[in-house]
Amino acid sequence: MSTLLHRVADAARRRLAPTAPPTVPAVLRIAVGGYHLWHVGRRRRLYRGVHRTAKESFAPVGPVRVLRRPLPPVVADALLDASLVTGALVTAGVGHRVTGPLHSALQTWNFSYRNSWSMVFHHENGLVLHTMVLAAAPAADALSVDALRRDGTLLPQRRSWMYGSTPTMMNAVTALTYLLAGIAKLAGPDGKGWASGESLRGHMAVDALRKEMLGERANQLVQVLGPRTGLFTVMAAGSLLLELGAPLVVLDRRAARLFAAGAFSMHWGIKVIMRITFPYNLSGVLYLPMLLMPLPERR
Amino acid sequence: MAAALAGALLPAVALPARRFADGPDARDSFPFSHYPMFSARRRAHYRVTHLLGVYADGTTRPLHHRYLGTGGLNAVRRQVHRRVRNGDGQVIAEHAAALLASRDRAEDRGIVEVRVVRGRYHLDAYLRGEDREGFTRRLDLRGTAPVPGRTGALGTTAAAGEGSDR
Repeated sequence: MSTLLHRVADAARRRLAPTAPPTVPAVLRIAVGGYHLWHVGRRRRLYRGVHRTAKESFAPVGPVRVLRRPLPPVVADALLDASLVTGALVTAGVGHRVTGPLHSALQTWNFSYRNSWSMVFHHENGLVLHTMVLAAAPAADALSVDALRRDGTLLPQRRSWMYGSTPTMMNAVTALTYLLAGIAKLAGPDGKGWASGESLRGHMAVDALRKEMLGERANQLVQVLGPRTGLFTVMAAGSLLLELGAPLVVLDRRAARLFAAGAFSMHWGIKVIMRITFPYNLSGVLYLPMLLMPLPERR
Repeated sequence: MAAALAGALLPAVALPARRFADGPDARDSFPFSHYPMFSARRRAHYRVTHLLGVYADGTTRPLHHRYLGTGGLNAVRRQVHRRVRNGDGQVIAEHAAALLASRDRAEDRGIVEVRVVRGRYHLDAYLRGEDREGFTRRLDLRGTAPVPGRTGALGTTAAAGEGSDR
């Protein structure tokens, strides 16, 4: 029995945490950290505006629930700017053991705070979860200031299962978020009927209508696609299949790449048809760990 | 240590699934969400609170949400819905009219009056490509204000709170 368990554990380790070079998590650190700088940098003005919203709209979520009232705007601004500093340090790989967790904590706080003013946006979940994984991983052992200091080179010649397990963990959290989104649809009032596409069509109409009524440019595509109900059945069934099948990405590299291509296309489709933007997904960084999964280790 | 921290993350991401049992009104959280977007049932009609700009000849068009607040369309939409429900429609209309005058954007220069309305719109008619009049089923006026400094302002056609069925 113990031999069997040992063999199963060994097979799981070789597949989920194969030995890999330190460049695997390092590339992911640079991509995710760089994305944070771009994302927050270009929205800094928007976030500062949110910090100054009427306090009646404050409805704290996640860690922000420790607050009874909003922070003074200058404090919230300072925390936001601090995450740009820690983001730069993490991207460069400076003192990762300290800056990694600090950056993750600041980022989680700032995005939770931003989501505490009306509704929860799901644009930043993937970024926050990936940053958490990288903060706990040895993600600055290559291509970093830390590596230069410790090893005198950006590309140290060593391999470890911890480097190989980093993309697996990132893919696992991504897969879970998609799976939850799929289950939410089945658990909703339409149940399996969601796959008919009627609900998706209604959501598209609502989204386009509210944008138009709130002064944004009308989406002509909505009225072109609206009468084609069959198309919505294909889109709804396809997205449900993708979401419910997401856990396969952890187990198989080919499934991961297929999922990455499908989900990336789906989000660009949502962007074009519904004008709903999931920037982290659209950038492709969310799917990078699926492309960088090392090969399972041979016996 | 790192492996334990990373291992604790997976249950934390999965646990919001508990909220599915609370039905469609369960409040979402962040960063551990249950992703209810696109899962709510959509009805035949949709209601939304927004601004209408009125030209001197009486024609109207929706105004941009930038006159209502900051934080992006969805954040502003929710905040305005809550404020109008609490009776702030007139205050919002006056504030938006003042902003419109002070910002003086070229595309809004012909607007002489700002209205805060809650509209009830028919989704299928909208998807069929009907015009605004065709898919509007009801408009409730929640506030109205002339744009300061602009001549030709119309008299208010309905008192705040009155509705008009179509």
